[in-house]
Formats: sequence, C-alpha cells, structure tokens
Amino acid sequence: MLEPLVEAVVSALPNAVVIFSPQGNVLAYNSKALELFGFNSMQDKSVEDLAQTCTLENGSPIASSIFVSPQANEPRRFMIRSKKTGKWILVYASPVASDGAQQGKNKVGAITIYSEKTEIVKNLSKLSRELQQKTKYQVNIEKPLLEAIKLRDDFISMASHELKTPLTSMKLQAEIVKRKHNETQLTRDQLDKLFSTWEEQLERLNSLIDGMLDVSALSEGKIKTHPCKLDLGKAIKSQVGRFYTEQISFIKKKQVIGTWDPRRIDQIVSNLLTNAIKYGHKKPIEIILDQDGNSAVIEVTDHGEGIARENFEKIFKRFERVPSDISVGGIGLGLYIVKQIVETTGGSIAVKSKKGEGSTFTVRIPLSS
Amino acid sequence: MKTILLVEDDIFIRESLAELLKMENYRVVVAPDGEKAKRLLLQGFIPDLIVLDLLMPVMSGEQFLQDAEIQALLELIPVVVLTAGLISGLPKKIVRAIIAKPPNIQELLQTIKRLLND
Repeated sequence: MLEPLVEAVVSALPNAVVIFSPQGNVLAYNSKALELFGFNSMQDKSVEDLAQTCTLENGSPIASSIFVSPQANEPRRFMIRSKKTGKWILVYASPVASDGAQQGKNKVGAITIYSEKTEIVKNLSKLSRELQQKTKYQVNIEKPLLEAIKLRDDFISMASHELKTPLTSMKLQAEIVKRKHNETQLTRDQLDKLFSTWEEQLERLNSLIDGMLDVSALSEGKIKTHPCKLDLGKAIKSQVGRFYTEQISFIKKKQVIGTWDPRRIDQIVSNLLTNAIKYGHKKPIEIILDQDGNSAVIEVTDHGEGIARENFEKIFKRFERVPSDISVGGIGLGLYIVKQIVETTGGSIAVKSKKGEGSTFTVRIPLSS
Repeated sequence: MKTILLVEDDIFIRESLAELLKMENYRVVVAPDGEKAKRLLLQGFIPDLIVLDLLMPVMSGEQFLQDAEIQALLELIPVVVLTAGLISGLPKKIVRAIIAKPPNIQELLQTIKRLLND
C-alpha cells in the first residue's frame, strides 16, 4: 500500500491514474480510472485484469507487459479501447524502478495515466468516412463528367465542320459569280442553277441550326407540341415527296388518323428517311405505315450499311455517331431528336439491323398523345 | 499549264473550287476521297500540287498523307490542306500550307500560286 499522501494526490489528479507494483498489482487508482475502464473497484485487480478488458487500436488483445514492461525504460504512449465502456483511451505508461531494484531485473512498476479520446476518435473516423465518400463521389462523377466534356467537344468540332462546309461552297460560288458578273458571262441558266444551289446550302445550314435548337429545347424539357387531327399517311407522303428521289417507296397499309403535332411528325419521318438515305448505299428504302390497336406504326427500312448490335443503344444518344464505312454529314442529332419526340407522345422507337444488310427503325406512337 | 489534283468529298465545294481554279488557268483533276486520289497517283498521274480536304469517306486526308504506297510521290508534290476541322499532327514535310474553311479566296489562290512557282 502507498502512503495516504500519494493516494490523496492520485485521487485529486484530473486524469485517470493507476499505479502498478512490480508484481503487476494495482497499488492505487482514482475514480476517473474506474469510470474509464468500467470497474466498480480496482482493489485486488492486477495489470492482467486491466489488460483483458481492453484491446489495442486495431482490435487485437493487449499483452499486460505493455503497461509495466521491464524492457521499456522509456515512458510510452499508446491508444487502447475499453471493451466494457467502448471508450478510446490514450495511455501514458511510465515505468518506475522499485527501491533498490535495477531496471531490467523485473522489479519495475508503473504509473499509468489515461485520458479519454473517444470524441476525437469519433470525429476522426467521421472525417475519414466523409473523405472516403467524397473520394468515391468524385470518382463516380468524374468519369461521366469527362465523357460529357469529350462528347461536347466532339460535337462542337463536328457541328462547326458541318456549318462551315456549306459556307465554303457558297463563298467559292460567290467568287465565281463576282468574276463572271464583271465579265457579264452569266447566263440565265447559270444564275438559276446558282440560286438553287444557294437555297439548298442555306436550307442545309438552317436545318443544322434547327437541329441544335431542338436538342437544346429537348434537353431542357421545353419542347412544345401543338397537336391537331392528322392523316398520318398524307403527312408521310408529303415528307417523302420532299426528298425528290425514286429510292423511297411508301407503303400505306391502312389509313391512320390521330392527333399529333404535324411539325413533330415531319421531323420523325424526315430524320428517319435522311438516315436511311445517308446509310442506305443508294439501295431502295421502304417506309411502311400501319396501325396496331391504338398505335400508329411507322417502319423505315434501308438495305445499306446496317448497325452493329453493340451500337444499338448508342445511336439514340445525343451527339453520337457510330463509326461508318462512309463519311456522311451530320452531327449525330437525328435519332436522338426522333427518340425524344416519340417519347413525348408516349410512344417508342426500336431498331433491327444487321451489319452489311441494312436497318429497320420502327416507331410506335399512340393515336392521340 | 500547271495541274492541280483537288481531293474533296463535298460536291458543291469540289465543283465550285474546280471552276475557280480553272478560271485561274490551271488544269484541274478531281477526286471525291483519298482512295481515288491515291489510285490516280499510282496510275502515274503526277499533279503539280494537291488541294486536300481532311474529313472524307473511304480514305481521309490524314490517311492519304500517311499512306505508305504513295509516301515517296507525296514528298515530290506540294500539298495544301483545306479543312473545316481542327488540325494537328500533319506531316510538315508534305503539307506546305493549311487553309481553313471557309477560306479567304485571295489567300487560297495566292498560296497555290506561290507553291506552284517555288
């Protein structure tokens, strides 16, 4: 037993303190220590008893020698956790040689001072969890973000290429006209041809810009529709007529009347036909109109390049164009626009295709949207 | 009379630039893609200059410039690249000028003239 004065000092200390004898028995302790380790009393307890109620930081058991090791002449600091109270405890263990004993001869006791660090540990692990989550979030968001940026850049370069191409031919033609006009060499036929080329180029520019505006409206959910009663067969026939080609045959299996926005129907038909012509290798194209229950069904088939199965999903995405054997104009908006419009009517679009054999796009739209 | 090989897939650009070059008293031979242009060279047609678009079907301008079969020939013929796209990594030895679409017509014609007189 220690002197009453020492005991009084120990119990007055603000930290939890336990003093062990060279044999490892508890000589003195204070109430703070009881509270930390969850004991009612430490009378007759040994360093073993204490060690058994705790684990090291990583959860592994504690060797009792850690508190009073004769090898540890230096004070040591380490973190333990009480199994009883769940508290995190920073230990400061200071070996004390007993009277007349030499250090290293197993005659060493210890004064151990403990302070609770549960709050700090909790905060630290909360921080680390948050950090982990943030890192995970960053990884999750980074990839699609980079992809979106790349897609945007590809789109800008594709769009500017597409816009500059008609500008180039118009500029060259303007130079030719200027020269010929100076020499008054232009015949009426030449002028007619020139003006119709310019009209065509301007139309090309205009539809590119329309496409871009549509996409921006679609992605912001601002697309406006003005539905009215419509004979779908007539609408398709007039679109087919706009292509001035014998390549397309229109097969109307049934007269289909419904309520749709005529402009949107035109867009669906014209975008599908434009693609069929682009990728159709100049072979015949069929557009078939039918009705299936309460839905109109429009089927556009070409017998050209076809689409590889792995690209089926990709072709409906914004700005996407899949690798092609032929270089065709366009900025990868057509099918995206079609899909968005079809979906706003509550309809669907599907593709069947085989590489090298052509593609069939099937649009189903409810008779009234 | 100097001969220019014009390689361009857009029919409107091809026809109008060919006409303009003819007005400048050049003989003009056209090809709609790199592959057809390559075939012309391999058949023994050697122009004095090539005006080359980059984004073309079948064989792009870049592929044409890097084609092993015509490398030796290309080193003898000045090439003017006329493109609406972004350009990087074109072989400097072969490409003597790069002109953006839509071009400044005077600049385009002067560049062609300069390279032909070099």
